[in-house]
Amino acid sequence: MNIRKIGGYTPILEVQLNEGETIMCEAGAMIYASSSTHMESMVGGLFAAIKKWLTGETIAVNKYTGPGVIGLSASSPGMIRELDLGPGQSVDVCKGAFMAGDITLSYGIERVWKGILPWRFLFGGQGFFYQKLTGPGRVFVVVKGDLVEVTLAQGQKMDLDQGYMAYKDPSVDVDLTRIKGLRKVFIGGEGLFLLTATGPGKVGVQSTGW
Amino acid sequence: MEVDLYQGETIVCERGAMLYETPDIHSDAVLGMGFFSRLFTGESAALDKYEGPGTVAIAAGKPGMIKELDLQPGQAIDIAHSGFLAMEPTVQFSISLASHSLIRLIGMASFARDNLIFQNLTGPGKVFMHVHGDYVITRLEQGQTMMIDQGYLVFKDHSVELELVRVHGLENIIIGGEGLFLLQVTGPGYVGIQSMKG
Repeated sequence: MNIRKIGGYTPILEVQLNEGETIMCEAGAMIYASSSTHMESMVGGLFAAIKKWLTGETIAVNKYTGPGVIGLSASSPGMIRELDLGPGQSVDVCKGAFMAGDITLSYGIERVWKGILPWRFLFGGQGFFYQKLTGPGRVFVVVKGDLVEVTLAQGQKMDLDQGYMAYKDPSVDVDLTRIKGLRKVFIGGEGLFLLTATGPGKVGVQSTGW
Repeated sequence: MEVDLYQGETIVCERGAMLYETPDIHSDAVLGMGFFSRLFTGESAALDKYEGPGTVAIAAGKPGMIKELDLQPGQAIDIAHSGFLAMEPTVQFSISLASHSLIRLIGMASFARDNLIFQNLTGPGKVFMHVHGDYVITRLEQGQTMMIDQGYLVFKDHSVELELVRVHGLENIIIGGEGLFLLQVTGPGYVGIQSMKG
């Protein structure tokens, strides 16, 4: 398998697959494929499908098997980042950020909110669920705009605008913070809530939000 | 793209692509072959021609890059409608619809608006096309086929055949994310693919 990025602005991820090699991708990410490749759409079961839909993604994951070449694109300006996960290492990927991954990865859906009711996250702009990928394997995330990766120390906090978080380590705790002060809420330009991320761990921040 | 024109020199552009021009530039409309099929598809039937002296700037109005293709005499390419930006007046042009089968045309018109109409261009002359996003160019051997998502094909050599194919498998159609139809291109020739929908 040979994977390369083409272009810099709205990049294309080109995957060359040998006979029998498989890669899994977000449904709809494919923009070209050799006719010799074989595609299969997988849905993880009804409940998982609904949860995946609520993450803002389509409900299926497509598996492409070689031989052949496929090209994937997010179809909007952004950057593609490769995350190499060791066995048991996980990453929580936010709405719209998952592009492709090795089939050796375990795939799960995780709730964004804590407690019983997700009402606070209606305003979060992040969707209700993360896609949790666990290694071994590579994950290709695509962020909208440019990417900044911030590493937080234990207990270190950072405020983020809603819709600008692309992915995070599972050790990072994310919660909503309400903006205090009527004036700030109405004319401050940030809306009602901010996300607060608490370390330890890495957070990938994108420069264009949802 | 900024073009400096001497007295009498002209450049032919997609309608509405002009961004700014100096006052001495003289513009006119040009009709190409396939006038009636263009009317049928609801697109504008003319291109704009700008004559110097002066400077005219052309832009597609969407993010992407401009690619220049230098066509030899007789060399023919087809460019997707939203990809055509400008060309030298020595290039011959006509419009064609992507498929000759009526059923497939109806299918395409519903699902593949952008890759329905192609500009057929024959050299000699320079052709400027606008690529949305980033750009990949692939050469297909004789008989080699490739599937391309609708809206992502920018140009192809005239020798490359284009056909609309249905996605196989009900499950793949509903949840596969690719819709009902894909474009199938068959070599020989070059194919240009863009990373954002045109």
